[in-house]
Amino acid sequence: MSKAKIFLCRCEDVTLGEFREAYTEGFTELESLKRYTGVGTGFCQGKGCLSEAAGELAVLRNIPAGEVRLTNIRPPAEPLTFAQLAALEVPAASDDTEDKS
Amino acid sequence: MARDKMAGEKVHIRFEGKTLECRPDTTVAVVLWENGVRCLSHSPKYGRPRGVTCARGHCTACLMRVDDIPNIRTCELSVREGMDIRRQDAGAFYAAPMQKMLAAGSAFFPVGFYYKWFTRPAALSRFFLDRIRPLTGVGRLPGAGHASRALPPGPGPQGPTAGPATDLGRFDTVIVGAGPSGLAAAAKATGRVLLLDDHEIPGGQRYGALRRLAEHPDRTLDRFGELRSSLERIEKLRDQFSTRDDVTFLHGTRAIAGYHPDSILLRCKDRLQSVKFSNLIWAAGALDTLGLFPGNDTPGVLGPRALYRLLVRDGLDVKGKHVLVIGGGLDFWMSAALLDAVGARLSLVVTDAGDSSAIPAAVDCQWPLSTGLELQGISGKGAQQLQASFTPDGSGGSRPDSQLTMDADLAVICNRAKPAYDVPYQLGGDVSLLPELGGFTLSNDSHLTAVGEAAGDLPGGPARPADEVDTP
Repeated sequence: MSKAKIFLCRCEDVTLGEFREAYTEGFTELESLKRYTGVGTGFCQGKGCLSEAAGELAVLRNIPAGEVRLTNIRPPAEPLTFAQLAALEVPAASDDTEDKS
Repeated sequence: MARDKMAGEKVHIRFEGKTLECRPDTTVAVVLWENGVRCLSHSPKYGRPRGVTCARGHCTACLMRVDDIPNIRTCELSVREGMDIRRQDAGAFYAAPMQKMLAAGSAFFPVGFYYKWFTRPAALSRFFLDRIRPLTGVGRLPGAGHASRALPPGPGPQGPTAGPATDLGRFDTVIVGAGPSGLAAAAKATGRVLLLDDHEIPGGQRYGALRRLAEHPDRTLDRFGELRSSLERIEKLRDQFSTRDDVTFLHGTRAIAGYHPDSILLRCKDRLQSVKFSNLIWAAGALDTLGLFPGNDTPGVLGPRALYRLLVRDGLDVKGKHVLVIGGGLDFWMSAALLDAVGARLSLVVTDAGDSSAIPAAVDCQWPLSTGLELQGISGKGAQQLQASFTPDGSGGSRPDSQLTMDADLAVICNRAKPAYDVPYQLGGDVSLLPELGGFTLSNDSHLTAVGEAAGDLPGGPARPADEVDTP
């Protein structure tokens, strides 16, 4: 049982071991770890794994948890169909919407 | 999904070509479970079996192909006569050998080859995609001729048809979540107020389960003071709320996106709506944290919130099943009481050292209880059972027997839950990781306020000292 995999991100099948390995390969920010391992990019958009991943990163880097920089979590928070979006009547998007980075 | 429908009425669905007879008043995921099908999908990379996990339409585990349309959340889909349900993944058949081959030949397979190659001519692209996608674990495309069925009712090609407005306009206060903290916020809010929740009635994630306990003849609730007072608090807030006819309540609705700092997108079933606000009160509660242990993806491992939805909302039948409840806190005792009330056989493992106040009550109920153990891992045992293994945590503790492994039909893991945080982040809120509060937590500002479990409070009351708790 000790050899069984520990899943950090179930949607993208990222194990804790893979996440740690990616860290040792030099990916030390949550954003780059997300892009490299796929953690938090699945159907649940990080609901299942991002706080665990950030907590693990804080331990790996030996920094206070509050100092871990969060990845950019873009809307929507769950997958939608084009049909759902097309049925939405919204005023034209205004120009002052800026992407946080 | 009301439970008390006419008994005896049956519907028929097809699963992988086999006809199953089932009761009509529940979800596809629950019907499959009750027919012995726990594995709803296989994970994309390792081909691991996955079963219903969040029961809330968040995770990937329950995504299936329904009437030839892939990626349908079967934990939220009511059964209907004649439905055709299939697993959509190919992982079970291809994953391990195929991915080894792809990895060995990675020089010949560039990133994203499966959607870059074979795109022309168009007629052939579909033929190739239908074969390449399964190899890479992403499943088949929707069946031909079913595209129109996937469309929700809405404006057709001829332009908008008459229907409910999708822009709800502006409210002074929008409150996301109608649990105890959301209801308390609604009681104080003035002006035009909108309250929304993904449940059908206000009261929160535990209300249905607490009501079920209160109605149960064993009166287990009376033995657990904290559960009794939770229910009393929620009922008082619900009574207060019922007099507020100036508050708009949207049920079955959840906030799913913030594209602009003063408006959010809501989803009710297949329909989206947008709403503008001056103040947003984020009372969306918390999500189950299963924890990082070997085999934490085993089908049958659930958090307490998923358990409440499966047992109370969907009426999952666990009578006579052996359920292992591991962890501590209010949800631990509540899960145990609820499982006991619906006739499951319990084994409790209290792993939260600080939480021993309710142990005498559990002993009083004659629930088998172990302490001083640490969870080592869970593995599947056959298609329908699991086995949990433990090690002594060094504190001594007590166990009814010296066994360090336990077999069960189901394992409920009650850890510190994580606050929901995504939409406040998208709205520009300052979100940071505070493990002592369960996960990412929002720093409140003038127009975004998190309350209750979404702010890191423990269920039933604030985790932080009272003077630090912001009131909306």
